[in-house]
Amino acid sequence: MTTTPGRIAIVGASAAGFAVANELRDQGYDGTISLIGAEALPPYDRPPLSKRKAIDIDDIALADLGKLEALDLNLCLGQRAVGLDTIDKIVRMADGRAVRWDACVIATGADPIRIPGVDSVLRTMADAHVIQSRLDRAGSVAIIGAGVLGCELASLTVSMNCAVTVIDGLPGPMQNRLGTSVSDRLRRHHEEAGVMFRLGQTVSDVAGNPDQGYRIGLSDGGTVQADAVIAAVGCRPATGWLKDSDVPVNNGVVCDENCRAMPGVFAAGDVANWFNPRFGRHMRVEHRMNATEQGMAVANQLLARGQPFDPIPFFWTDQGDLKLQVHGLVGPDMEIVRLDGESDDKRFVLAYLREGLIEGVLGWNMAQMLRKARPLIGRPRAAIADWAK
Amino acid sequence: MGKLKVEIIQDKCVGAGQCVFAAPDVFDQREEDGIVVLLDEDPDISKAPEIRKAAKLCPAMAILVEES
Repeated sequence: MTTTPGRIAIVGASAAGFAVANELRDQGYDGTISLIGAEALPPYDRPPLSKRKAIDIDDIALADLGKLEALDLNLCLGQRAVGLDTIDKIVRMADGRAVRWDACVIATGADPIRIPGVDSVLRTMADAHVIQSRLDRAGSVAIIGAGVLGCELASLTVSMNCAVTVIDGLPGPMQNRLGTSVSDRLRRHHEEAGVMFRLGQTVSDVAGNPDQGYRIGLSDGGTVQADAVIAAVGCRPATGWLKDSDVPVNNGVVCDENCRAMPGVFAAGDVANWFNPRFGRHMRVEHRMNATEQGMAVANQLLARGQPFDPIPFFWTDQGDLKLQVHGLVGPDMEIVRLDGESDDKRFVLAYLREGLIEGVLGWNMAQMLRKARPLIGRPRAAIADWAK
Repeated sequence: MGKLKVEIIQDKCVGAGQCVFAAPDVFDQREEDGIVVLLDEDPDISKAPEIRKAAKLCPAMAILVEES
């Protein structure tokens, strides 16, 4: 017989950790929930940070204070977890305290990769404030990395009348995710807005400071000069604090299909590398949607009424007037079939296939039609003809 | 009694469509930009589980639900 744990410690107080706590209470759990977060701010939503300027915490809080109080949490904010002891069942805190648990959820997210000489990254509200203050007095900005975050920052900064240069080692923006043809279309979208690209270039060195500006050396010997520079070259799962624990770590916390890393220990959100039975492989998904869904799934696991977690991943990105959305899995090595769209390529829906099977669908300014295409995921190519009717 | 009050915030909506998967009788999306449309402002309480799921899943927190 499984019994419900009396004390649950959730390490990480962002979207995934908050979703666990919220769902536990929603399902009637009345035990002790400790929600531990390294940031001092109450749980908030991160995607708006790269999409809008001058954001206030009240606009993006995951719960207002009344709701947060009603959840009756042992909130440990501004307090960093530094270790996990799975024998004595405690989370060790930076200030020496210990938080005891009967079940623990690891939801520590991911940390942005830093580039020497570049002091701006974007992950937290504090990061966003630093970037905002720099951009307020910058005429030009260099963004290193043309992934989702770099592209969103390009649209945001170009809308603030900055001269924007985006640098990436790949031949096109988001190329390693979307493939060459969609990446080319995305490049055109940004160039039409005034963004400049230096592609196929790695950064060899960065010199400068916020007062005097920066000089970024590129692998072809060229340079980019800019008043501000932001690194957006991806994240690593935040597992450093687990190094002395016996929790299995390999590109995140390795979990089974129930998001369980070991007895009594679960993971959710960006940090979880779990086995998704729908696709038959382990995956780690740094998407906002996954944080909520996986958090809710883990809460139900904790209450012994969980099901294997087999979502169709979803992400969206807003880049200027472009709304790009993806259900399922897409990749540069996959075959692409056009499902719908307008002839001028302002709107379209694509299917991405691997070995004849549809694994993902992408919508370019075509959200409603994309939703209707989602049921194709997991179906063979032949299903497309029926769907089109 | 027996009704829910549902409110949507179109300015926050990102057009993910998750609410339509969860509660297709209550939510739809605009064809042109995918922004949420409310089909039923005071749905029957029997639909509460799916509507609450839609509100929880919404990645933009653009759905508010109250019992009226």
